Amino acid sequence: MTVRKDVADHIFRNRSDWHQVILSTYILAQLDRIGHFGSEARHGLPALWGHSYVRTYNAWANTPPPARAFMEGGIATTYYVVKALSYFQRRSGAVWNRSVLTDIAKFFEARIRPNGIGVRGMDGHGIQKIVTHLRHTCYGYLILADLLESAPESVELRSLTRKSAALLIKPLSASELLQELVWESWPVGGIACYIAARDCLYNSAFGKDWPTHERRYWPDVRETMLDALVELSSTHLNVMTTTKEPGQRALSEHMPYWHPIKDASILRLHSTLGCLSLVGRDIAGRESGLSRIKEIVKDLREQVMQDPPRAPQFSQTSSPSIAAACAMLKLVLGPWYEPTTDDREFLLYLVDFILLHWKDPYVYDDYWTEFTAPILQIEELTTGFNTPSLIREAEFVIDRCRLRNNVFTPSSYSGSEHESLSALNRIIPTALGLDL
Amino acid sequence: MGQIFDPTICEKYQFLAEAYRAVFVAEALLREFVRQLLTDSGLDISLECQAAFRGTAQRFVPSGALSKQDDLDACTFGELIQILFGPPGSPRGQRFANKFQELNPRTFRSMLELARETRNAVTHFWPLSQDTIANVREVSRYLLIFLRNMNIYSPRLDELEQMHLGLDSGREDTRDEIFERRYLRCAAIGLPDPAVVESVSNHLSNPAPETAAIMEIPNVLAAALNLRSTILFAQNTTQAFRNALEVIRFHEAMHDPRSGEEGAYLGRVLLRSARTLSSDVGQFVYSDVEHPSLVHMAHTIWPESEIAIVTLSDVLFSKENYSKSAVTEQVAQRYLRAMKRPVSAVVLPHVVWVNGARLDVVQICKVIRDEYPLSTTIVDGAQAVGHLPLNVEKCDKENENIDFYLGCGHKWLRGPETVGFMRVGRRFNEDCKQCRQYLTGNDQLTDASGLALNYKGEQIGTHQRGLAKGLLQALRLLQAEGDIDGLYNNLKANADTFRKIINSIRQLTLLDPPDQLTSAIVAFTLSKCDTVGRIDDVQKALSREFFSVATYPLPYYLRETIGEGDFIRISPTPSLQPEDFSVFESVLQKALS
Repeated sequence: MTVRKDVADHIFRNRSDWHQVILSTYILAQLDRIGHFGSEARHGLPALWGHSYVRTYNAWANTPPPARAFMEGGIATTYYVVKALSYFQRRSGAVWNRSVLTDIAKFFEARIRPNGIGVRGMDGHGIQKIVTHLRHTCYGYLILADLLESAPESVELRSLTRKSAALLIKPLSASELLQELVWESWPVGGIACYIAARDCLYNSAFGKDWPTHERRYWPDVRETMLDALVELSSTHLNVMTTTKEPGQRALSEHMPYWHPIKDASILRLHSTLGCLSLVGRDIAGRESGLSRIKEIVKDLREQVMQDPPRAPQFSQTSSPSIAAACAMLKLVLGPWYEPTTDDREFLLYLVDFILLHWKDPYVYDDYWTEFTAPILQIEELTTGFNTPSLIREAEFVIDRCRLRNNVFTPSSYSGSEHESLSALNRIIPTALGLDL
Repeated sequence: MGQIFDPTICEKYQFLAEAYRAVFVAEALLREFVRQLLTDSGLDISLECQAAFRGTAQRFVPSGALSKQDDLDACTFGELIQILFGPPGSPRGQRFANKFQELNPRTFRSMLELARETRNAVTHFWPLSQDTIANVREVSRYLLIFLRNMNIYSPRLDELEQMHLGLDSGREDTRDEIFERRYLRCAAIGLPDPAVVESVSNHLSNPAPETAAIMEIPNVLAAALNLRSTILFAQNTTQAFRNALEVIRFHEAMHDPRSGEEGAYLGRVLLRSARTLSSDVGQFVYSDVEHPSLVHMAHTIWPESEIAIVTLSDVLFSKENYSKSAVTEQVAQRYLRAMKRPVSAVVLPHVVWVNGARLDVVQICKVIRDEYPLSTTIVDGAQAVGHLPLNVEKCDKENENIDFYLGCGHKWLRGPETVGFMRVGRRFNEDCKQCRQYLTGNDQLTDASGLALNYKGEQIGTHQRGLAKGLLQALRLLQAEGDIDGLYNNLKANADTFRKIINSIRQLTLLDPPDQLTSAIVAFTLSKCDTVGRIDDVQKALSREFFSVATYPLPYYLRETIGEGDFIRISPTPSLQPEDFSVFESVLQKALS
C-alpha cells in the first residue's frame, strides 16, 4: 500500500478504508470544533498554534505580551505551521493577508540581531533580552523564505530574508558549530534545521553571497551530516551534551526515536517528527534511516494496538492525547514512509480515537499542539487569507459525504468522483501537514 | 641517429657513467656470489631474501611487480650484504666465513659497503674520485675470484667478467654501448639531456651557495607546463604521491576543517562516536591501471579496509573504437560508483603507464568534484609531463577540481633523476594552513633528498642545487623546443609509425588503447602467450640498436585477454629519421624470424 505516489489513485482503489481515514480527519478539521473544545479545556490558552509566533500575533496583536512562560520558544512550531499553510495556500490559489505579513515582518524585525535570530529570554541578571541561537536563525530564515515565496512583492520580508540569509552564510568554526548544534537542548532539531535552512539557501538567490568554494562543498557537507543524523542516538550524544532533566545523571537512550528535547521521553515523538518534517525524505533515502523509521512506526503500532488497544500517548505516563494521535497519523502518512497493510488497523484506530474522543477535554492536556495545527485549525487558517476556492471545494466534499453519529459513510460514487478525488489530492496533504 | 652528444659534455657524463657501470658489475657479481653461497649451503633463497627485506625499510614496489625478477634479483646492494653478514653483531655473519678464504670477512664487508655507498653517490650525481671507482672495481675482482674458486662457470658470469675487464678500457666501451645507440625517449628511464648533465656537473665541480635556481625553478616549471606555481618537490612521483596521501590523512584526522567544511566535520565527529570501530579517514579509490608503485604506496599509507579499486582496463585496453567522450563518461561514472562518504580521495592517471592511454582528467575530475565536492583528487602525470600539452590549468588560474598534480623530471623532460614534484591546489594550501605547513616541512622527513623547496623558495634544509639546476635546464630545453603541441605531434607521428611497423608483424600484438586515446607511448607483446621468453630476445635485439627499450611483466588484468608474459614499451624522440624506423623493423623481423 502506498499513499505517497498517487493519493487519488490509491484512495480510488481502497476507497472504503481510506475515505474513512482521511476524509473523516479532514471533515473534523473543517468543522473546527475540536479547536474550540481544546481552547476551552486549556483555560483560555489557545490549543492550536500553541505559543508560536504566528499565533502570538493573531492572539495578542492588540493586547499586552503574554507571560514569558508562554513566549519562550515556539519558532519551530511556527515553521511547521507556516510551511503547511503556505503549501495549502499555493495549492488552493489563496493569498496571505497583507496586514498579517506586515505584522509578522515586524515581529521578526524585533528579534533579529547582528549575530542571529533569537527568542525573548533573560540574561544572567534577569534582564529581558533577545537570546539568539543558530537553530532559531535557521528556522527564522526558513519561515521568512517561505513567506516571501508566497508574497514576493513584500519589501519588508525580502529585506528580512536577505538579513537572515547573511546570518546563515556567516562562517562558524567547527567548535562554534558543535557548541550551537550539539551542546544544546535539541541537537537533533538543530542539525536537521541547519541542513534544511542551508539547502533552502543553496537553491535560493540569497545564496549568491555564499563564497563560491564554500557553497560548492555544501552538497557533500549535508550528506555527511545526514549520515550522522541517521545514526545519531542518545548514547552518542551522551558524552557531548549536557542536556539533561534535573537530577538525571546521563542521557537516556531513546532508540529508535531521535533524541528528544532536554532528554524528556515525552518529547521523543516531537523530536522525531520535527526532524523528519525537515529532512525526512533524505533520511528515508538511506537504508539505515528507512529501517529506523520502520522501527519507530512498529513501536508506535505496538504501543497502541494492544489487546485491548490503548489510547495514543506521547509516553506511557502521559495522558491520552489527540495531539499524539495526530502526530502518529503524520508519522505514518508522511512522505518518508510507505504504509503497509499492517498499518491499516492502526490508522483506522487512530481516526476512530479522534472521532470518539474529540469532545473529551482531557485529550487536550498536552502542551505540544503543533501536530494538530495543520489538521485542526482550518477555520483560523482560512480566515487568515482569502480562500474562496478552498471553501467551495471543502463544501463540495462535505456535500458528497454523510456524517451521521460521528461515523463517516462514503456516498455512492458517480461519474464525477474523479473530480472529488482530485480535490482531495490537493487538500489532504495540507490537512495532514504533509509535503507530498 | 636519434641523438648526437657534444664531446665536451660527454666527458663529464662519462665520469658518472663509468662509476655507474663499475657499480653495476659489482652488484651483479655480488648477486651471483650470494646465490651460489646460498645454494651450496642448502639454504632457501626466498626465505633468506624475505628475512633481508624485513630487516630493511619497507619496499615501495613488491619484487617482480615492475620487472621480471626473482627475490634475489629484487635485493638491493644493502640487502645482499645483509644476507651475507646479517645485522651487526649477528652470529650469521660468520656462517660463510670459510668461503672468503684469505680475505678477512670484516674487510670484505667494508669493501661491499663502500661499493654500496658508491652506488648511492652515482644515483645522486655526487662527485666521485677515480680511487673510489678503482675500489669498486677491486670488489668485482674479489668476487670473480671467489666465484671461480667455487668452480662456477656460466654464460652470465662470463658476461660479467668481460664487462669487468672492459671497465679498464673505460670511456671507449661506454661510448660504444650507450652513446652510439639510437635514442628513444623512454617514458620510464629517460637519459638526461647532455645540457642537463652539464648543469649538474658544473654545479658539483663548483658548488656555489647561491640559490637563484632554487628560487627560479617553481615558476619556470609552472610556466613550462602551464601549471599554477604552487609547486612542491619530492624525490620522485611516488614520493610526491606519498606526500599527498599523508597530508590528506593528516587533514582528515587532525586539522581544522576548511571554511565551508565545518558541517561535515561535525557530522564526522558524530559518526565517529556512533561507529566506534570505524576508521578516522575516508575512502581511497584508485584504478587497476594505476602504476604499481602508487598502488603499493596507497596500501602502505591508507587503511586497507578503506581502499576501493575501479576497473578501467577493460575500457582502456579495449579493441572497441570507443570515443574519447564515451571513455571519459565511463571512467567518471565508475569512479563515482566506487566512492562513498565520508570524504573520499581518488587518484587517476593522466597517461596510463602501460599503453599510454590519455584520459581527460579535467573532465573526469570535474564530474567527481561536482558529485563529491569534499573529495580530494590526485592526478598522476608522471607519463604526461614533457610529453603532451597538459591543458590542466593556466598558471594564473587554478583548476580547483584537481588538488594534486604529480610529475617528475627524469622521464620525458630528460632532467636529472630523483626530482619529483606536485602542484598543490588551494584546498591544501591557502584553505588549510596546517596542510601547507605540513607539506612545506615534509621533504626532509620523507625523501631526504635535500631538494626541499617551498612556496617562497625558503630553505628548509640543505638544497640540492645541482639537481635544481639540472631540472631548470631541462625545462628551458622544453621551452626552447617551442610549441608543446608541435612537439607532441612529432612524437605522436613517430609513435604511429612504430605502431604501423609492429602491426605489420604477425607475431606481435599492440597493447593500444582505443584510437582517440593513444599517445606517444607504444606497448606491444607477442601475439601468443610469451611462455618461451622470446620477448626477452626481442628486447635484447632492440636494445643493441636503441636506448632504451624496457620490458615489463604483463599486468594481471591482461592475463585473460593476452596471457602471461612480458611486454615491451618504447617511446620515440621527435627527431627519429626514416633509417631509424627501417632499423627498428629489420631488428624485429630478424629477432622473430
